[in-house]
Formats: sequence, C-alpha cells, structure tokens
Amino acid sequence: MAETPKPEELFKNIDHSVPEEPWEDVPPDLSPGRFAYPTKPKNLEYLGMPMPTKEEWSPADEEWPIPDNWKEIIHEGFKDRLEKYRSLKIFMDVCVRCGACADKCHFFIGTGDPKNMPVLRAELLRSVYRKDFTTAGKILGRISGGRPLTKQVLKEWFSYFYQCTECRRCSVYCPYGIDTAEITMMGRELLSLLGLNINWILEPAANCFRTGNHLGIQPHAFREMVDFFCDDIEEITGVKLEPTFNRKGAEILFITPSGDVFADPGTYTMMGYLLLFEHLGLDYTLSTYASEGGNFGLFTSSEMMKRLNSKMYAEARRLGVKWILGGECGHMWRVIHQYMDTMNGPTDFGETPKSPITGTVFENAAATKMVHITEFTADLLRHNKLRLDPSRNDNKVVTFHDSCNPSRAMGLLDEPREVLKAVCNNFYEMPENTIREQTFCCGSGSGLNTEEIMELRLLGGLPRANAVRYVHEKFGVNMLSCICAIDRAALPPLMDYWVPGVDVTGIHELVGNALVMDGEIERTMDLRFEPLKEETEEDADE
Amino acid sequence: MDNSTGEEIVRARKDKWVARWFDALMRTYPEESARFFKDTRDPFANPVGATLEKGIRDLFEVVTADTFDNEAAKTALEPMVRVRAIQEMSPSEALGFITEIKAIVKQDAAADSRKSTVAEKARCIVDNADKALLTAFDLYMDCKKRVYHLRARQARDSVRQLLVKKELISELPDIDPELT
Repeated sequence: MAETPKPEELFKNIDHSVPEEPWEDVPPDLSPGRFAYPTKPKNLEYLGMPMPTKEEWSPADEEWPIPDNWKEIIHEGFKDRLEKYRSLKIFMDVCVRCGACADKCHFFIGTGDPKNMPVLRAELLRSVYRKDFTTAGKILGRISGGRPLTKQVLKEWFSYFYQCTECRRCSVYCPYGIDTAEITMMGRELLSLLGLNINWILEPAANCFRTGNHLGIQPHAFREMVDFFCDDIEEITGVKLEPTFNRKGAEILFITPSGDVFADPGTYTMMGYLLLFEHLGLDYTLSTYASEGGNFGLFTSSEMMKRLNSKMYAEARRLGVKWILGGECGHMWRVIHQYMDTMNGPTDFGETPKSPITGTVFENAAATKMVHITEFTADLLRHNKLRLDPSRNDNKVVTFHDSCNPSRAMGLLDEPREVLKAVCNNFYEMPENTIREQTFCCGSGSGLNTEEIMELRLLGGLPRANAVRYVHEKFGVNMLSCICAIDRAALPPLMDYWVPGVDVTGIHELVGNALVMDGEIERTMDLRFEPLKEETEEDADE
Repeated sequence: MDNSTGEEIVRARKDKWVARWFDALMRTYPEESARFFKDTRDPFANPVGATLEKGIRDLFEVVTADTFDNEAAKTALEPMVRVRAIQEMSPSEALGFITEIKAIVKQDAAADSRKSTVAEKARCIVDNADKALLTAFDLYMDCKKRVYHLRARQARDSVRQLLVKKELISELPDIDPELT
C-alpha cells in the first residue's frame, strides 16, 4: 500500500486549539460574505442621518471612513442613552453571568461562535460601559471586565449587532429579564451615530419615507397590484371584489406589510384578507400613503421608528376611521404593542376597536387602537360568523411557526392556532421547546434578510428548520404557516436548504381557501392556482 | 497469534474510536461551543451537536465496513456536511475531520503491531476514510451550489413579480398542450 500522508500533514492549516488570547482580543471575521452591505450614502442622506463618506466602502476595508472624533461621538451617545433609558443602565449593571441565556440564541446554536451567546453579545457593549462609566472600571480596567473603545471593538459591534435578529428568545430565560434585543438596538443606534449601518435596513426605511413602503411602490402601482389580486380572486372564486383606497369615513383602516402586496407567498395572504373582508361586508379601506405595516426604524433608532410609525396615526386621523386593523406582520407588532403608544400616543382619533360583526370590544387595544387580524378572525370564529370548508386545505399538512414578535412581544399564541384549526384539517405542532414563547427565529429578522449573508441566515434558522424537519418526517408536514412577512420571505430558502418539500404560507391564505363566499363558483384551485386535490386517473378519464 | 476477525477488532474498539473521532471533530470548534455541542442532549435545543454525533456514528459504520459503500457514505455524511459547509470555516477545515479516524486507528494498530489482522483492518479503514473524503467533497460542493442558487433566486425574485404584474416586462405565455 502506498504511503499515505498523515492527516496532520495534510491538514496543517487546521488549528484545533482554543485561541490563546481572551475573547476580547479575538478579531471579528469581516471577510466578504460575513457581513451585510453598508448603507448607500444616498439613503443616509435622504433620511438625514450621519454619513461616513460619499464614497461606497466595505466593512472588509482595513480603515473605515469614520470621523476623527468618533470616540467622543460614541461616548456622548452612550452617555445620553444611559440617562434616557433606565432599562439600558439596568441591563448594563445587572447581569450576573449566570449563563442561562448562553445556549438559547439560534445564531450561537447554529454557528458555534461564542460571541453569539447573548451574554457575550451584551458584553461587547457592557465592557465599554464598565471602562467608561463605572468607577471600578475606570480604576481597575480589564480586571473588572472593562476595556477601552478601539476600532477593533467598533468592528466587533458591527459584526455581532448585525448577527442578532432581536428575537428575544434569550430574554425568556434570563432571570433578570434582560432584553438583549434592546441591547442590540442600542448598539446599532450608537453605530448609526457614525453612519455605520446596513443597506438592507436603511434603504427600505428611506423608501418608506418617500413612497410610503419598503420597496418604493408608488401609490398607483400599489393600487394596481391590489386590483390584480382581485382579478385573480375572481378567476378562482367567481366573486368580484372592489376594495377602496384612501376612502374617508370608512370604519376601519387596514394596514399590512408591503411584502404582502409585492412578494410571494405573501401575496396569497393578501388575497385571503381581501376575501375575508368581502365575506363579512366589512366597511374598510386601504391606504396608499400608510402602505407599509413594517417599520425598519425599529432596527435603526428609536427616533427613526417613531418617525416611520407616525404615519399610521396620521392617516387614520386624516381618513377619520374608528380604528386600525393590522395584517400578519412580525416586528410591526412589537412596535405597535410595546412602543407606539409611548412614541406617538395618545391617539386623537376614533374609538376603542369594536368588531362590527360580533360586537366584541378589544379593550386590550384601547390605547393603540390597532387590532391584530388573527385576533379579529379568532373572535369571528368564536361567534360562528364564518362559513368555512376546511377540506379545501386538505392537500396541505400544516404546522405553525410562532413568529418571534407576535409571540414574545405581544403574547399572541392561541389565536393563530384557533384560526388554523378551523380552516384546515391537518395541523401538527412542532416540539414544545421550539414553539410559543420558546419559538426559534427564522434567522433573518431585524433587517438581516439579505442575500449576501445567506450562510449566516441558514445557520441562524437551523434550529427552526430542524424542528420543521421533525414534523415533516413524522407527520408528513408540507406547509409551514406563519404570521410575519419577513418569515414569508425568509423561510422559503431556509426550507429549501434544510427541509426540501415544505412550502410557506400565511394563515389568511388558508382562511381565503376555506371561506365559502356568497355567489362563488365551484372551487377547483387554491389561491395559488394549484388544484385543490391531486388529479386521479378517474378525473383524467372524465 | 490473535485470530480475531476484522469485525471483532472493530467491535471491541468501536466505543473508544467513535468517542475519539467525535472529540477530534469537536476540537474544530471553540471550547465553549464544543462543550455545548457535546453536552446538550435535546436534539431540538442542540441540532448541530445531535447531527454531528449521529453522523459520526453512521460514518464509523461506513468506514469500518469491509467494502466501501458510497451510498451509505452519502447518507451518513450529508447531514454533517450540510451544517459544516455553511459554518465559518474553510473547505479543508469543514471536511478535515473525516481523515482524523486514520490517525486514531493507526495509533491503535501501531500498538498492536504483532497482530497482522489489526494492521490489515486499519489499512482498510484508512482506505475507506479517503474515499469518504472524496464523497464529502461532492456533497460539500452541492451545498455551496445550493446556497449560491438561493442567493441568486432572492436577488432575482425580489421585484420580478412586480414587473410582470405591472406588465413592465412581458414573458412568453405558457403553451397550452391541447393547442399544439
């Protein structure tokens, strides 16, 4: 037998040893493919945000285009925020490094990178806090866990605060309730003071400012897209819909993420909403101005979040509606449920939301005057107000992915399940520690759904996909349902890589399939123009 | 003279070899992460660890078989390679663990040098491990190609539907087979 080189000779470049240096000294990997592209200068300019340079630059560059007094800017920004947000100060002080959060982050679970442990992610900020803002840290420095702010620290922040999807799974396990999402939000705000942020977040934010939605769909195009859906609906169901736009005096304003208008499979969910409203004879209108439920300000700064959110109320006031019904979106609901009333409340329009069909008053939404559509639909079901034929979804074996924000930020756990169980006959839950409050993120939330970091997203989504694979193999699940537009965009590639054969849907797409409409033709196709049942040889013979 | 068959040799050492191989694989991760991957038993809380542990066990059966079964190698390797192809490591780092079994087996064979059947079995395992590495290389490239495909599709589809619906681009209509 020929002499085979020893493995250690063949793979000399493999270093199995743990790095000698402490974590603070391990530089972040900012090689191409490991970061999302930085914001294009025109988008920063449009939003009136600090701009590092008018030239395009790359995080892979050794030198970053930051102002000479960058340390001062960060220090002052940090100080302002510590004074403004008591929560930030508490989160900086209170962590006892118990490690309960360490193995709960989907990015850590997937990548195995220790800096993706939530405790260490927070430590990136906390170490600078200790050095600059605590007496012990100022005197003892590294001994008390402090470290000076250097350019490498800045690069580390950029790397790891954009490897957090702000999903808050770690917070569920923290005995002190430290909200790592808010730490990431602060980290991103500080970076933005130097103009360091990512284009996939800031471009949609800038578009939102200009045309009202993330993609920059202009009002007439928004309307035409909805009209196209109505044509499709008519072809499938025989029912002609005529939704109204910007109609003053409507009872309800419906706002959904623009992903439902321009991106499959969200578009089918949009068709589901439209069918539901027609079924009920709801007095509602759509807005081409408030044509975006999503709010990428949440991923930028509190100020940007407030600015983008305010148009919902401005439009509700202008149109004189009584309340707002919101579509299936994720982070939109964290903004509404946890920040909207503080930022742009108290509302000066309308009244406490009341279902015109059942008379139910949504007291929980008295402050924001916005109701989540699955809450609205679940209430209809409880009052037996919908005519449904769930067998139309029989070709789908469905499971439900709790989107991070509706589940953890607003406790919307049972309503989506009530709706699903009413509109389809084959529903199976994923394992207990991967759903409801403990749900795993899609891996692409908080503005990370961009193609240049596909590997990172696939790793972040691995724990979710792994649970889907389990129900796919055990129960034959072929449809992953969710109530978030980013999920509807992020989960298809995730399934394609880890669990081929599982498709993605919004819940109201399934509602739309099941609804028995007045005057409808016999349904042979679902909202995707796919046959309701497999064609058998018998059918073919007919 | 020891009359053990190759199968008996492997059976007697299986637990030790598998454990060492898994440890070698774990040494490609930082210490804190390796501890998590090794110690967390729930496969839903720790999909990477569960996948790699099962993968090593399955791959061990493949490399210790008398003849190399490429299909079995693919089945054993695929879940592991799918994970490691997208983790932050170079291709040689991602797949290098496969060859680690060679050093582990050779070390034992050297200690048992008087027993020719052990040396013979060791040579067979080394041979199989080399073949498994080549199989893994194919799988690795498939995974990478899949990622590139997903990237390209996202870039292509992000606005395409809008253009089609707005009739800003016009695609060829589907051909109705009954009309042809």
